[in-house]
Amino acid sequence: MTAPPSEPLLRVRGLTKHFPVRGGIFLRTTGHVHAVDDVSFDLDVGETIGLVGESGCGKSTVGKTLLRLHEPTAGEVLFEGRDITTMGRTELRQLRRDIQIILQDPFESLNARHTVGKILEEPFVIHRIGTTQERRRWVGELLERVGLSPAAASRFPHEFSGGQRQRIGIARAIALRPKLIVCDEAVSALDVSIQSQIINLLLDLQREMHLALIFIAHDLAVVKHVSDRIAVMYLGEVVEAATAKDIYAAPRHPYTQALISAIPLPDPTADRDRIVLVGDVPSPIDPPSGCRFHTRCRHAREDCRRSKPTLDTVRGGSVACHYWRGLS
Amino acid sequence: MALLEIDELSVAFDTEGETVTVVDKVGFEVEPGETLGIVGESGCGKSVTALSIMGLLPKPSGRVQGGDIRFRGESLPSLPPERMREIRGNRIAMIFQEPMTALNPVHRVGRQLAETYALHQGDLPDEAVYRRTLGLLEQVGIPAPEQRLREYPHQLSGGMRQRVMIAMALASKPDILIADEPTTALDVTIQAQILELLRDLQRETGMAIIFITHDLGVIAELCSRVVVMYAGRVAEQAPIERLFAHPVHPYTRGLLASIPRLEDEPKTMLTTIPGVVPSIEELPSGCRFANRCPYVKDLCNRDAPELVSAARGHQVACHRWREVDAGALEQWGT
Repeated sequence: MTAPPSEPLLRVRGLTKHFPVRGGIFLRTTGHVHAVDDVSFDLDVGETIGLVGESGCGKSTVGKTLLRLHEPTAGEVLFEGRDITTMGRTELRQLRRDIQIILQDPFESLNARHTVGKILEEPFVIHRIGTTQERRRWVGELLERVGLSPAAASRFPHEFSGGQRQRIGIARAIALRPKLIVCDEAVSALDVSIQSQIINLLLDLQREMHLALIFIAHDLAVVKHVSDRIAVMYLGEVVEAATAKDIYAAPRHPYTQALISAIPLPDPTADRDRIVLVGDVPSPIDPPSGCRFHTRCRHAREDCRRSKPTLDTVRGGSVACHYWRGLS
Repeated sequence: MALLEIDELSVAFDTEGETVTVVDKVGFEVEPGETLGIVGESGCGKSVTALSIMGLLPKPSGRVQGGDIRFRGESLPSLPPERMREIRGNRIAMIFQEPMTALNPVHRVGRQLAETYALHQGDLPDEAVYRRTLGLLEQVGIPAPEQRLREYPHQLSGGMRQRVMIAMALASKPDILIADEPTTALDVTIQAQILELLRDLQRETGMAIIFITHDLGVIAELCSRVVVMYAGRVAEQAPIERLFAHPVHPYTRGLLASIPRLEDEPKTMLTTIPGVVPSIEELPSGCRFANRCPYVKDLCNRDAPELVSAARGHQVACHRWREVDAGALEQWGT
């Protein structure tokens, strides 16, 4: 007997977020920033999907829209079968136990006037879980779990280094045993030797708690290291998705190829077959017609300007390019 | 004689009645036309070293406490301010991570470039200055330069701003360009453009580059020699191939082993250096890496290691580098 294909933990379909651009003395809407356009993906329990791309590609907006920190313009986000985009306040409150976010600079998200103990107790207080004694014990356990001393509870965020603060951010994120954590550039500001400690901690916690992760970062080597699958975004759209291994071994989309070739390798003897893209990323307020990458693509032809490539399913992933077959 | 000699340089800052030494007896040389990388993590003293070369230490708290910086044999810390102004920006120029803070937001790009150019070249007719600034923008690969000259810094992208900064730095044809994390805030495809630009410009002008970064990948791309700094001291310095193929300082080894690499199997544990860098207020008296080093022994906690020669052009500050090198000690990650 074969089991029916199980429902993924998270199913994102056609997620779109446009921000209005206002101008003139009456601040009328004069256009829209196409931050996220028609993004779809699935995520299973315990799985990691990496979102990569350059500034303004919409990767962080995807993360925030999933948590309804931004209201989506269109599309649906099903978490365990329930649509997040139509949830009311009570349901959202419950949801935010299950989905957490870790940001680049935990210092900005940790209340500087509260002790670490108070910060970590807060999730339990908000969701009315446990007695005061229990909460204190849990705070101590959380601190130990992320590699800090329980004595840290009585200190303030500014007394900690960047890496330690990120550990506090992680402790808060796992406090309510969530099922999904969005890591938005969570290790980007850390020094290499500290970054590797935090990556290992996240991998450890994921295994132990069966956490699903959405790992958003601009450092491709880091994303590859933590992800099962990777989606590459450009100007609000997913241009390619594949397993972490495949996307580096055999990138199909010309943008992915350029992005990977641009990574500086820590090896002076490496052969560098670099594709240097010309120009900057165009404005997301008025994205290029047809394929959004055509203005910087060295393989662009006439129809790339006119018609938009669909995200086609290919072996092990998907790619949105008219000519990918001829390029790989 | 080297173009620039940093000789046992110590830099101190006064904070709340206390003096902390943030750069401690750092030494290296820069030859004409070479690219020297300085790599290290936050607080290792790499930026402070660069600022002291430029004579731009924050006053009055920061000062050169000991040692010397010699440019073409001339000692920079003891120069009168007028003479230093002639060298700074003229012979030694510097670019920073965030060009937006270095550009004046209320002046057009053209005016700022012209001002820099006129400052260093003396009185020139407006027409000549305009032509030269246009030429500089072309040289750094800015498309439609006439239009850019009329724009304000905020109208430019991050990559374009950095190109404008590089153009300003090149205005006086410097002998040395100090680049402090110039690509760290840029996207990887734009970073590739800027690195290519710096390489091309160096080939054209023959200037030396001191490239300061935390990214060993960028170092490997661009530099011919590299200085690894840790907690205010030089841990190791070597020619680029040598450092990557044959590092002998435990910190360099740990750093190289900690980098996630594209060829790694996804979701495997990374090698880590345990612990954190000691804070500058409580630096140990011995080796500053001792609290994180897997090879530490009593001597390391007692005496600070001197920088000694490990091979031709290769220096290391570690009591146990020979044993580390011979593989007599256990490896990282095992």
